[in-house]
Amino acid sequence: MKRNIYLNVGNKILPFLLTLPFFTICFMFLLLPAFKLILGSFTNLEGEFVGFSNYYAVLARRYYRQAFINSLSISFISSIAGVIIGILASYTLTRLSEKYKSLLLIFTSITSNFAGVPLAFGFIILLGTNGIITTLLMKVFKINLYQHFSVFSVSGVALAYLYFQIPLATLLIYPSFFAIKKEWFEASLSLGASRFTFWKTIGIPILTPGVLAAFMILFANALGAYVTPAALTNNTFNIITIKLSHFLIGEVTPDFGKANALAVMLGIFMVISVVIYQKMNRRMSLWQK
Amino acid sequence: MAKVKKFGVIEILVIVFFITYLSLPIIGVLIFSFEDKWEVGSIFPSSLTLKWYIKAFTHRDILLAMYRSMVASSVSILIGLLIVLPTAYVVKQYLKSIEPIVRFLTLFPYVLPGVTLALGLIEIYSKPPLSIAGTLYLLIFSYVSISLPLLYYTISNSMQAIDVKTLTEASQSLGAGIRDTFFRVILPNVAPGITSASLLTFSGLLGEYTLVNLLLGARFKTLQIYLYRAINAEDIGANMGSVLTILYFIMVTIASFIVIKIVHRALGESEISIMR
Repeated sequence: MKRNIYLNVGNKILPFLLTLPFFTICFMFLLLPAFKLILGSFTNLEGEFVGFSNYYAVLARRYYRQAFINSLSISFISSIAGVIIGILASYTLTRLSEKYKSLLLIFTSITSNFAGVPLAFGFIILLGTNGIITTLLMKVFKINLYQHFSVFSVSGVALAYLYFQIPLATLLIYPSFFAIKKEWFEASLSLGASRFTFWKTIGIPILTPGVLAAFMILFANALGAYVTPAALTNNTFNIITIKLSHFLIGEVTPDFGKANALAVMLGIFMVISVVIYQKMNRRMSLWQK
Repeated sequence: MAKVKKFGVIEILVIVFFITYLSLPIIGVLIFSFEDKWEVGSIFPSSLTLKWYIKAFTHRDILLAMYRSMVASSVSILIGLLIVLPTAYVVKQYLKSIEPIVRFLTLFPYVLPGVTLALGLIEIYSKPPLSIAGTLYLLIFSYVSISLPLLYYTISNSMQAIDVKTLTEASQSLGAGIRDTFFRVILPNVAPGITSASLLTFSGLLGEYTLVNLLLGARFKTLQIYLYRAINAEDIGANMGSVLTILYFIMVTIASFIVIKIVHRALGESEISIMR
């Protein structure tokens, strides 16, 4: 039978053509914008090349420096908190029976859909100036929440960030716990190791790449968050994503050079996060065979 | 002798905190969607009503908004599938060597969050020859491009799981041509993967606000745009906003359940795999 089961080298044209739409869309709507952002960060309004002056101008303004600090800190803190809760929740998950485990996992994945405007809504209803919890605290516990807190400023926004970080953290970290086989735990105990030793020499080293990978994703996720803080603070919260949106919603005359510089600087943090994530992922696959 | 600790206080506290924290905002919105009269200073509304729900289903603007959201998402997914299916199959089967490039491209949207992407897109597409900024085309195509990671990843893994290579060999050795192989052998087997990918993407796009707002402004009023304005009591008002939120949430929850059912069936009795 002279049938060609595998296409040989000469006939790779049709398959390649079939992938063209994919590459075209990626090029036109992902790569090109990225290039434009990078190239445009080095030009001014007239289109002339101005070197790094956009970057200097942006970093020189306290306004933008503060935005960066805010973006980085709220992302960092919410990611750390998310990871901690994620670890606790994942550990607890491993101790549940199959039925409750899947229920909780389903619950987690469903609530992760609530992020964005819905989340802002919920937080305002609960913690706004006349919110359910605010009123409860005042009436029952005589605590004036709004003396030290506001759902429309950092404290509230941070709590909102935590809300969408927790499910993501749990779903990301739980598989790592999976890699720790119960048999290893039992074996090491039967060999005389203490709980502590097990975790120190086996458990934690196995978990670490997974936890770090999760942290990177949470961090990048928080850095890029726009809708939730924008909805909560009516687009005024001082973080980089909201600042960037101001260039597009016309409150500021668009100096795209500076906008691009901001975007590129944000992008650098994202790239670093993704790179570290990839490294951790590779290390994790060692344990998942 | 291994001593397994009993399910202790800490575990219970963790679970209670977890469930409470994640449910409260949803419950809050739910309560508000039934609110009739709510005095300042009372913890809960004093009377409840279904009127907001009834109004929502008869409100022309809201129905249009839901229609727009669903059409935009569906169209984007269809285009996405048309692009991803051949690509995933062809890459797995014939062009293994470019798989790393494809994987790299599918990571790209993670480096370009909504606002950044919107910025770049507007800068490029505001001028001729391709001045599609401000048009629906740009929105749909950008939706397609941000859906590519999830679609490609899910479908590619699905094809891997059903061992596309062997299926193709078997089919071709039995005399089927490439077209038959693809449409009558591969596709039906990847159908669960396609459905899951589509539903997950659908949920994601329904919840998308950034690109709609920044690329099109208030001109293409999707569900999320209305929700955003409802927070500030514009347009439909906060009560309707919460109804809309609940309806949106029910839709994406149903989608999630269908995905879970599919995955469960595909994996048999083993653990639910986490598809993110």
